[in-house]
Amino acid sequence: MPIDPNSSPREDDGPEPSPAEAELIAYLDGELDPPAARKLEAKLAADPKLRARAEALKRSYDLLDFLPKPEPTSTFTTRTLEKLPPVAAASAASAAVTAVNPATTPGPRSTPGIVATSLSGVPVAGDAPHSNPSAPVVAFPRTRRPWVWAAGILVAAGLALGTGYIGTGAVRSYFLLPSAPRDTTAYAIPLADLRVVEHLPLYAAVDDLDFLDRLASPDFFGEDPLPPEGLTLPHPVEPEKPVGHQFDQLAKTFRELAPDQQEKMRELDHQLYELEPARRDRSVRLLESYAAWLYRLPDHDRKAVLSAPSAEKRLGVIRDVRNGHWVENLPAEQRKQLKSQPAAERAVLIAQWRAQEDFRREGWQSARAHWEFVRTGKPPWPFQDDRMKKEVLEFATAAYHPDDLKRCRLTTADRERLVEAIKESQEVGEKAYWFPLGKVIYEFSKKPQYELLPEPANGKPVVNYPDLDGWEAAQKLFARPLPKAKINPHIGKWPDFALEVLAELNRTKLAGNTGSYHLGPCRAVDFKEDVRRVILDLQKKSTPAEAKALKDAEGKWPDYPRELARLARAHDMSVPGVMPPGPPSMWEKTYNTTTRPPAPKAGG
Amino acid sequence: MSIGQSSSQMALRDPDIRLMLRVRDDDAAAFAELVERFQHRLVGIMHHIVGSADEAEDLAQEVFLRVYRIRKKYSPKAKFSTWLFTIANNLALNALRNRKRRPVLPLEVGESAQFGPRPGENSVPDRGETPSHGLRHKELTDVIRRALDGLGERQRVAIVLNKFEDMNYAEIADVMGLTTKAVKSLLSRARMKLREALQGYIYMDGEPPPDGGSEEDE
Repeated sequence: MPIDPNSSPREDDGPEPSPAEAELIAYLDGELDPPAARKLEAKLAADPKLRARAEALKRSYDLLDFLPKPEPTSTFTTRTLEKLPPVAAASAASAAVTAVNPATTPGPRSTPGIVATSLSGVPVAGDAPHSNPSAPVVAFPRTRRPWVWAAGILVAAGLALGTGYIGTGAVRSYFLLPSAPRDTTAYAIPLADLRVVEHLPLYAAVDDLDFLDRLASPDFFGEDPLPPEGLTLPHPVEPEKPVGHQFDQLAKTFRELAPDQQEKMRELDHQLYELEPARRDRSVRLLESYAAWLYRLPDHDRKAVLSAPSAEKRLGVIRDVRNGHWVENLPAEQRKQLKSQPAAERAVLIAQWRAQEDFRREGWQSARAHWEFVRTGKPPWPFQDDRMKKEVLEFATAAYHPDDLKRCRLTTADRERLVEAIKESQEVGEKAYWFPLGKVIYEFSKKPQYELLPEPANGKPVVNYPDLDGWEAAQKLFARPLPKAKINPHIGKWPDFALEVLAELNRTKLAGNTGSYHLGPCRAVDFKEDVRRVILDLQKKSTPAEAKALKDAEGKWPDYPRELARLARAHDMSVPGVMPPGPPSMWEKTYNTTTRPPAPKAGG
Repeated sequence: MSIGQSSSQMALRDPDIRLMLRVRDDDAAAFAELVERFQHRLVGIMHHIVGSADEAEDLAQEVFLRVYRIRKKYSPKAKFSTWLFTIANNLALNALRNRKRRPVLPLEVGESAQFGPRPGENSVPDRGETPSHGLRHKELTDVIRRALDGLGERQRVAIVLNKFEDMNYAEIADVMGLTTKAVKSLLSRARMKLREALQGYIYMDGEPPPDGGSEEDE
């Protein structure tokens, strides 16, 4: 029904208030401009009757917070989606399963607004400010969603203590009204606390950094969804900042916390901002997810979380609530199946399903960490280029010998991983998946036990005793009983056998630093053509100090090839057969997932 | 958010707009997420407006379905929630008007106010009468519910948006299709009515009212 925007009030709208009354109400609603507000504040200060009227208006309005907070029934989403037009409904209904599953809900990440604006009233975890019913409880401010505050403060202060909503202590604090009109200086906080206050909604329900770390597990909130498609995150993650009235209320809440509670918040903030940026970003997102989750909980669950007496207990409650949700949000078919089982079978079934979910989650995590590749369907660097594909495959086979058990240096698990990754990369068409291969090669290249050293030009590396015939020091060593037993497991493996021999020689001081050239190439001429080219290149690029360091290592193995590799890395070059093909910085950038992956270009 | 911004800039800032744009593009999962994200607020608001849990759910559901039906027409010009609550406002007012035309038997206490107190049901105590400390929570919420139901439809909507969505006058004006001035008048009348209806309950913790509080001088 169209409404006339300027329509005059109708009969049931009641009498027109006097201008003074309307002004007072606008003031209470924060709708007066500053000069008018100041004028009214002066009047309020001088006029007790006006003050009393203002207070009656405010108190009567605050009473609305007593209304129960209605929650939708648990089937609301499903029922709504079922009413969609048929075609859309089918896909949406399955989407709903993911959307409503707390373990996979992407919501929190994308609701920083909700967090920053709605949780300003969440009470601090634990019950310090409320543990003593006679202790001052923070005044009831008008927040963006007052029922959150009501749920929080009242629940924590009243119900949690078993006094009920109408317990006199709680009611007294509930009705607490600042006797003077708003005094902006009351909200002033030291500059040092600014950030703590801004983040108060995020910090409020967190015990400490350790608690936060525990929340990062996939069982809790470790499922941090990535930014939506096509968006870049060039700046560090910063929660939305509360402004104006919201900030005032947060500042007030902070000031009214017990000193030890304030100190706890400062400490948490300090620790958080001491973290290296990538980890801090993840933690901030985690805080947002947690706060948004808490905000959405039904009252009784939230109460249980907030009133837990210790971090450990709180984690327990969170886990229980999330587990409950997890089962509740299983597809109807699975829930039915669950119901039909005896209790013992049920637990087994749940464990199985959770394991399946963990497996899928791992896949998703990998996909999310490299979502630009997943999104675009393009293989990651360096596999977009056919020549590079071939080179990397050749490198992996020649360096790690996954198909030759005698020469393979990898552990069984690592070897299987490599074999699987190579297999996935060799699938046909769109099924070809290159990321695992890149990742596994990068990771092996970082493991000291898989250190690679260039083979000699003649293609015959030292991998067995006969290879060292004619080197006196070695023959003396092999004459001893124990060393052979230690060295034998490395027969056939380059450079493990040679390194083991050297270690034994050094231990028994039979060779010292002389003669190690018997073990492997340690002059430019000893290497294969491709390595020699890199040496030449590096000699041109290196500083005098670098050139000297390489020169000094000449004739010593493995000192020379190690120095060579170090120098190559410094100049972002790869030593053939020793380092994965392509610039090391690109491997680092693409496959080092301990820092954030590169953000894709929008639209790319 | 100013109108001058391009939609992409705005979308960058507002996750809800991003979500709605996905809904517009027929992303079913996005719609499910939208329902998940706003159902609590919508059901809450509707419940406060119509006073019945079942009806509130039906109305909230109708809001979502309408969002879905008109998704192609969505263009990100304002805060998403303003758009959503505009739809909610229209549906809620329609429902209240229909109900007036075809009165149904009240199912919940909250609805009784429109038809006067039920037999034996105590109306709001006289001004100045202080209820006993023993007034139970249920009774108190009933009194508040009745006070809210005693407001005009549009007053009630405005009050609920202001109180529970913390919308300022300008936002309420946007949602209700009124001028800010009209909202100011609507809200001040409503606030006075509420004060009137709840006067007897605001000092019930035994604390004496401040000077001059017990007598009104208007």
